[in-house]
Amino acid sequence: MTALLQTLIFGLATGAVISLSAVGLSLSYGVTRFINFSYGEFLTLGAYLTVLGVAFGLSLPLAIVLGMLAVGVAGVVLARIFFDPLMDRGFLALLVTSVGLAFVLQNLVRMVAGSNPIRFPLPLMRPWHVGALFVPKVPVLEVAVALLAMIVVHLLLTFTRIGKMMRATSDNPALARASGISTARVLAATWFLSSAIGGLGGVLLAMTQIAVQPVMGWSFLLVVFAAVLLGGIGNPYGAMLGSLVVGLGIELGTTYISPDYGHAFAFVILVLVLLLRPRGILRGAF
Amino acid sequence: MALLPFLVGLTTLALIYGLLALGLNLQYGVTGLLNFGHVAFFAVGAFTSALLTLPPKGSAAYLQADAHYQIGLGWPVPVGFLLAGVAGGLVALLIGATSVRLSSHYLAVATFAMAEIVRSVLTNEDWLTRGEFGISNVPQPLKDTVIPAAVYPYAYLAGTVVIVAVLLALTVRLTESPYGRALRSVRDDELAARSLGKRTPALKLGAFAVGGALAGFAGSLWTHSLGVVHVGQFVPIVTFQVWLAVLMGGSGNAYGALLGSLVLMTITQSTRFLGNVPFLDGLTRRNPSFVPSLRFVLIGLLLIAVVRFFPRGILPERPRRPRRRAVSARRRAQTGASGGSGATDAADTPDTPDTVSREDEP
Amino acid sequence: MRRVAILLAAVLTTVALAQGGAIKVGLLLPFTGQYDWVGANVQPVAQMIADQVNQSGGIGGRDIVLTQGDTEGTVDAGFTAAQKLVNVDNVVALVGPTSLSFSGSKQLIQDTGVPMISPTAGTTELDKAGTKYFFRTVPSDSLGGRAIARAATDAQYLGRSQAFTSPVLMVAKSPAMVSFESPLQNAFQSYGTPLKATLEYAPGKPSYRSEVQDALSHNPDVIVLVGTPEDSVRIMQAAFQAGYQGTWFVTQDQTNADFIKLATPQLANGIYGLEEVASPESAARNDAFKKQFKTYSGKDVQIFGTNTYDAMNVLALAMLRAQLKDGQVTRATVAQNIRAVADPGAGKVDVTDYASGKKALEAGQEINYQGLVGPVNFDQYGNITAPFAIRQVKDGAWTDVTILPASALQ
Repeated sequence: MTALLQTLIFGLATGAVISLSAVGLSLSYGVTRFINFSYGEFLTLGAYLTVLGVAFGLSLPLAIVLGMLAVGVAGVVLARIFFDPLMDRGFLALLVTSVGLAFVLQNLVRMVAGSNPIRFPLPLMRPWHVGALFVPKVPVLEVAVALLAMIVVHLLLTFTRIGKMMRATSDNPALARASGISTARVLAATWFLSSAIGGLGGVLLAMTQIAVQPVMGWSFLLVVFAAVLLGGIGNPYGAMLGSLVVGLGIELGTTYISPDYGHAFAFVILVLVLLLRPRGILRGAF
Repeated sequence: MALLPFLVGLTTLALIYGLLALGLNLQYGVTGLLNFGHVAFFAVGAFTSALLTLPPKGSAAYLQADAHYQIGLGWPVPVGFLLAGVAGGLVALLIGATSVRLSSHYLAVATFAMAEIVRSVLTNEDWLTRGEFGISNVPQPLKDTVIPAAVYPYAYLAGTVVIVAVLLALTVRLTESPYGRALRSVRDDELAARSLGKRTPALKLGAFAVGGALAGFAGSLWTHSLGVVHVGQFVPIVTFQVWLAVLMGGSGNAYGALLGSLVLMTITQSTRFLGNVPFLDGLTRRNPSFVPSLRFVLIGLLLIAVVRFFPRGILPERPRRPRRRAVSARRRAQTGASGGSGATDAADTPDTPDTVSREDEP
Repeated sequence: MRRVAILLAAVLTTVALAQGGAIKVGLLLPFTGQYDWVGANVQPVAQMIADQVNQSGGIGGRDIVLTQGDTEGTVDAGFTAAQKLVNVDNVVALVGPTSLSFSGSKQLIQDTGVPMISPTAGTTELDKAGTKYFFRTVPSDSLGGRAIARAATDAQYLGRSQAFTSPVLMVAKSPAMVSFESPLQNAFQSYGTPLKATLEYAPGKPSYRSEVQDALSHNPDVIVLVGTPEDSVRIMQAAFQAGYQGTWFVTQDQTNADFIKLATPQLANGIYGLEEVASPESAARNDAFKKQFKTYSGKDVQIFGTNTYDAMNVLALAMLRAQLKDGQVTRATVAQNIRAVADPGAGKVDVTDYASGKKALEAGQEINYQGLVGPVNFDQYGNITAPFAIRQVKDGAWTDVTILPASALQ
C-alpha cells in the first residue's frame, strides 16, 4: 500500500513536469495548427539559459525568469523567420520545417555548450517525511510551479484581451479574422507564451533530471506529445489531464510491469486511448 | 584514394533508403497518409530476414562465430527476403488498422509513437533480438563461396540495383493502375472518394501494407548488406531521413523518391568533408563536437530550405491526364485542398487559407 | 547533382593539397546523437598525443593528423563514417569505435585490414571477435564486472571490516552498459554472494524514482550501478531522497573527478569505484597525465581519457617502429607493429610514453609499452587484462583504497 501511494506521488511529480510543456505545446497547436517538433529545443534552451544565467552570478529564480523571457523572444523570432512564411502552406510543410529547426537548434546548443552533461544548479535537499511516505522537495516545488503557471495561463486566456483573441483564433480562425482580430499579433503572442512556457518546462525538466544535455528536449518531446494528444490537441486543459495520465502511467508501469520499458508505457496508453477516442480524452480543438 | 569502393558502399545504402522512400511515397505521396513511424517496418523486415537466415543455434557456423543469439532458422536468404516483406506488410497492416481512422495530426504522432513501441520491444526482448548487443554474423548470400570478398560490395550493389528496379517497376505499375488512381482520390479528396463509393479505409490500409512491405524488403537488404542487425539502427531519425528523401525527390513520384534518396545520401555524406576543411578543423580542438554539430545544423537548414523553396521537389509528380488534371485542379481551387502533398501541391494553390481545415477531416 | 559533385571534388582537392604528407588516423566515434560525449572525451587526449609526436619531429618527418568520422550513434552512420575514413581519407589506423558503431563498420574494417585500437568498446561481444587488426585498451566488461564482484565480496579490498552481503544490480539498457550484466551476475554467484536482484532500466529518463523504490525493496547494502554518469546521478539522488543508507559501487565510467562534480560531493561521498591501473607506480604517472592534460586543454580528464592515452601512444609507437624497421607506415606494417611495441618479450625496454619509446626505438632497442590502464599486453583476440584500483570518494575526491591484482580475478 505504501509502495502504491509512493508510486502515485512519483506519478504526480512526473505528470507535473510534463504538464507545463504540454500546455505550452497545446497552446501553440491551437493557433498555429501544426505539430511542432522543434518545441523540445525550447525546453533545452530554457534549461541551458538558466544554467548560463546562474554561471554569470544571477540568483536561480532571476535566471529562470530571464531564461523564460529569452526563450519567449527566441520563439517569436524563430517563428517569424521559419514558420510565418509557411503559414499558408499547410500542416506538413510546417511540420517538416520544425524537424529541420529542431536539428539546427539542438546542434547549435552542442556547438556552443559541448556534449557533456552539466549539473543544474540546485542543491541536494532532504525529503519531507509523511508517515511511512517520503516526499522529495524538488517535485513538490515542480508541482507548485506548474500549478501556478497554469493558473496564470488560465487567467490570461479567460480575462485578458489577447487571451480571448487567442482562444477565438483557436476556435475558428476564419471567424476571428473576419471579426477584426489581427492574426499576426495573435500569432506572435502565442509564440511568445508557448515558447516561454516551454522554457520554464525545460527548467522543471532540468531540475528533475539534475543535468542538462543537448538532447534533453528532443528525447522528452515524445512524452509531451503523448500527453497533448491524450488530452486532445489544442486543448490546454486536456493537456493537463493528459500529462497526469501519462505521468502516472509511466511510474505505475515502471513499478508494476517492467522498468526496462520506461517511456514506452506512455505510448502504449496513447495508442490505447486513441483506439477508443480518436480525438483524445477531452475532445481536441480540432 | 579508393573512391570507387566508397561510392559503391554508399550507393548501396542510398538504394536501400530509396526503397524505404518508395514505400513512404506510396503511403504519403500517393495516398496522403502521414506515416511518421516508417522505421518500424524497416526494423521488422531487418530482424525477420536476419533471424530466418542465421545459422541455427549450436551449428558449426554458430559456434565458429562465437554467437549468443537464441533463434536462427538457417533458411535461404531469398526466403528471408520475401518473408521480411511479408512481415513489414503485416506490421504495417496492424499499425494501420489501429490508426488509419485517425485524422492527420493524430495519425502522425500515433505512428511515431508506435514505432517507438516497436523499438522498445526490440530493445527489451533480448531472447529474440539480443537487444542492445545486436547480432553480428547475419549471413551475406554467396559471399566467399561464389563471390570473393574483394568484389562482394560490387556484386551486392548489382543485386540491389536489380531488386530495387523490379520493385520500382511494380510500384509504378500499381500507382498507374485503377487501384493507384483510387489511392490518389483518397489523397486528393477523401470525402468525394467516399461519396463515389470507394472504401477509403480499406484503400488506406492497402497503401499502408504495401508501403510497409517495401520497407520490410529494405530491412532485409540492409541487414544482409552489413552482415549485422542491431536495434540501435532503428531510431526516429531514419524516418525523418526518408521523409526528406521523398520531399526532396518530389512526393507522389516514385522515381523522385529514389532520386531523393540518392541526393540525400550525397548531401549527408559530402557534409562529412566539413571536417577536412583546414580552418574548421582548427575549431574542433576547442570543442570536438563543433564540426559534427555544424554538419547537422546545415542538414537541418537544408531540410527547411527544400520545404520552403522547392515545394514540389526535384521530380514533381507528373500530371496524369490533361482531362483529369483540369478536374482535380478545379476541385482543389474549390475546396482549397492541398491533399496529401501538403508541402508540394500548395505551390499551385496559393489561395489556401483553409488548407489546414481540410486536413482536419477525421 | 552536378553542382554537388563539383563541390565535392573541390573539397577533396583542397583536402589533398592541405594534408599531402600527413599520416592520417581516423577517430571513428560518435560526436553527435545520444553518445556524443564519447567522441568529445576521446579527441582532446588523442590530439594531445598527436601534438607531442608532431612536435618531436613526427613519424619520419610526417605529421599525424586526426580525422573525425562521426558515427552519430547509429549503425549505418558507423558504416558510412568508416567508409569515408577507410576509403577516402585513407587513414592508416583507426581509434575507436564504440560497440554500436563496430556493428556497422566490422565487415569493412575486416575486408580492408585497417588496424584499430578502441579505447571505448568494453562490450563482451568483442571478447572473441578480435582479428589480427583489432585491439582495445579498455578491459572487457567481463573483467570489470568480475573485479567489482570480487572487491564487493571481499572486505580486504574494500578497506572496511565487512564485505557486502546484499548486493543489488541496476544496469542501463544501452549498448555500452548491458554487457556488464551477466559477468556481474556470474561473478557475484561464484564469489558466494549472489545478487539479490537485477534491475534493468531504460536509459535517458528524466528520473528514476520508481526504479529506485523497486531496488530498495530488496534491502541492499550495496547497489552496483552501471550507467551513464547522468543517469547514475539521477538514480543516486532518488535513492538519497528515499533514505537509502547503503553504499554504491560504480564502474570505470563514473570513477573520475567530473562525476563527483555532477553528483555533488555530498551525494558521492563513500561510493566505491573502479579504475584500471598498471601498478602503484602507474598511479603517479596517471596523476602526471591528468596534470599534463589540464595544462594542455584546461579541462579535467574524462571518461576514456586514460584508455585513449594508451591507445594513441601504442599507435604512435607502432607507426614509429614501422617507419624505422619496415621503412614505411602502412596499414599492414602498423598492424604488425602494434604487438611489437606493446607485448612483453626478452630484452625489451619498458617505456611509458611516446618520448621514452621514441628514444629507445631510435637507439635500436625493442620496447614494451606500459600504460596507464595496465601493462597493455594484448591477448590473441586483442584484449588487455588489467589490475584494478578500488577507489572511494572521500572528502569530495577519489582516493585509492586497494589494488586488485589481475591474478585475483582468475
